[in-house]
Amino acid sequence: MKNRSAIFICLLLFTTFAAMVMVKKKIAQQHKVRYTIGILQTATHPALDATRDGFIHELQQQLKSDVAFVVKNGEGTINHIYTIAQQFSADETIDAIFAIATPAAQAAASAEKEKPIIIAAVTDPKSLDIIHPTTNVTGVSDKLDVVKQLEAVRLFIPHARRYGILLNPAERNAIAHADRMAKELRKQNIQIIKIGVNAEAELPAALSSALPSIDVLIAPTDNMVALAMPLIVTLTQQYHVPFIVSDNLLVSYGALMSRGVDFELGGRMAARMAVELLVHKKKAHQMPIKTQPVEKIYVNTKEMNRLGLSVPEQLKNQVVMIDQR
Amino acid sequence: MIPLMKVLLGVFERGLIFSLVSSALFFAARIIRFNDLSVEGSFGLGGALTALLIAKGCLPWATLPLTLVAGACVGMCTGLLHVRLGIGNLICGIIVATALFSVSLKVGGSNLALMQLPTIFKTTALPASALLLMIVALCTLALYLFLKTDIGFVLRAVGSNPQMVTSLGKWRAAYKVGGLMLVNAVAALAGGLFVQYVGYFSIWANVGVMIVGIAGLMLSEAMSRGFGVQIIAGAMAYQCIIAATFELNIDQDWNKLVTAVLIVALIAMRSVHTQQEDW
Repeated sequence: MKNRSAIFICLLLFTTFAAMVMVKKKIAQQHKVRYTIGILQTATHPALDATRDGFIHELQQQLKSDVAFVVKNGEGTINHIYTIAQQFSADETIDAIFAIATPAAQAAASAEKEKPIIIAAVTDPKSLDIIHPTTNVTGVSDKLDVVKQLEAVRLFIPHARRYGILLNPAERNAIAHADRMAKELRKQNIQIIKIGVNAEAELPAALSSALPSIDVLIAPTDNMVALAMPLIVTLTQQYHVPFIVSDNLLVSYGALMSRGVDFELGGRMAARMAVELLVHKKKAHQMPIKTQPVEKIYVNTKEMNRLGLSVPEQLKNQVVMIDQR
Repeated sequence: MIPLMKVLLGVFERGLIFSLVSSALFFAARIIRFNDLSVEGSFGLGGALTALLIAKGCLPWATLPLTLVAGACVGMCTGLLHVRLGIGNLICGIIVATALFSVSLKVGGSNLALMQLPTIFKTTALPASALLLMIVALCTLALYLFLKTDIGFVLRAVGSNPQMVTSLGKWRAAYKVGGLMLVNAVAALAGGLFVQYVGYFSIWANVGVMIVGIAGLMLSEAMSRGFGVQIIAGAMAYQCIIAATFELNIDQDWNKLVTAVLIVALIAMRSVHTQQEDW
């Protein structure tokens, strides 16, 4: 009896599920908006949220009521992200997919070969093997201009001789950035130590042992760093070590400065590419991946004063002062 | 109809892959009564190894037996930690899973793309679902028949009646280690298949695999206890639940709560009078 009721409930679940998919299709056909874009976000995260918001606002400004969005979040689970990608691919009402961050970009490219896919917040799209002459993938890369970034840091803190690079070694983006930073710094004969932390729980121990022996702490675009900002800031302030980030958004959380990626801008740039793809009917393989321009330097006023630093003359007109959040 | 069929096909394919994890956990939890958390690590290692080998030019089919071997090694480590050092079930699994994170990271990097490289799904004319069905059905059948052999019988005794194993003159520790090798080998195979299926390896893919396996196992037991086709059905039912969660257009923050509620609704049918397991 128990087995039969279990099988019955399974069948009920299946039928409900089938009905949901069919009904959704019917509703979508009745209220068909000109363009529907499926947004596949990898995880909830300040940078990725900013990318999504930039994308949505820019498209709403340009296409007004002609565009609708279906936003799904995989919450960091690879299997779920792939499930959503497959559902977007199967859904005929979705005209294009916007994939935020590497796992989403990979899943979308794997599940969907025809509809245009726009990616953002991916540092190294080439290494994902999704760009080729017949690709349906295009978008914006958040590759950092490490040389310019480090130049700004050196002008701010000229006497620093030991840099600590904080990253999560399990994040490909972070490793690529960190390696480029290390290479640039070694050219200037600066001592580097890499602080590799896999989980937030390990941060206090790792930082407490590293901070006393470094002059500057710098972090590439790294999800773990972004999510653990309050913790890192507390420690760097305790040890009076300037903390440089690569995500402009994080300066308001307590880092000293950033000359890096503006994720909201990335979202906006991706939105403009989406307009080209959908409205002007361009092909994805005709549009190479764009990188963001790096102009502005964001500095946290309170942090700068606390550390007794000031904006160098050469950078005065590129600096934007940010207030603590 | 077509969208529904495509979605269901995805559920079917992923259900097959993760049914191997559920089968592995069945062997761990129900047969040898060893709650093995290192299954998550094996899944990751199987995937990392597959990605690395294919990137280096190995034949995709050849990677499958190699993942079995890798998983067996992992199982041996977990087993030896348990029988030689006397470390408890859960801790052994956690230790090995933690260590495997670093190992997988070194083997496959944090991310390895196989998009333009051959996989078993690209090199055959069969659709992915048919191929997966063949492989998983073969494995499940092999495990089912294995349980009916003498060794399978002793393995079951290791979990349910350890004294009998000794009275039969068999080395209990060896059978336990052997059982764990089998469990992790199957999990590693699942990891390898997953990587070939999605076309890339990500170090984060093995997070949460335990939950998927256990949920599939519980759903299959809600249908019918024991080993058999219901394991595959249970795994597919769970993938269906996940897909259903995403079909609902709700505030995305509630996703995981909805998944949990749907699982509870299905398992609530389980009678309270049946023997209580740990999970």
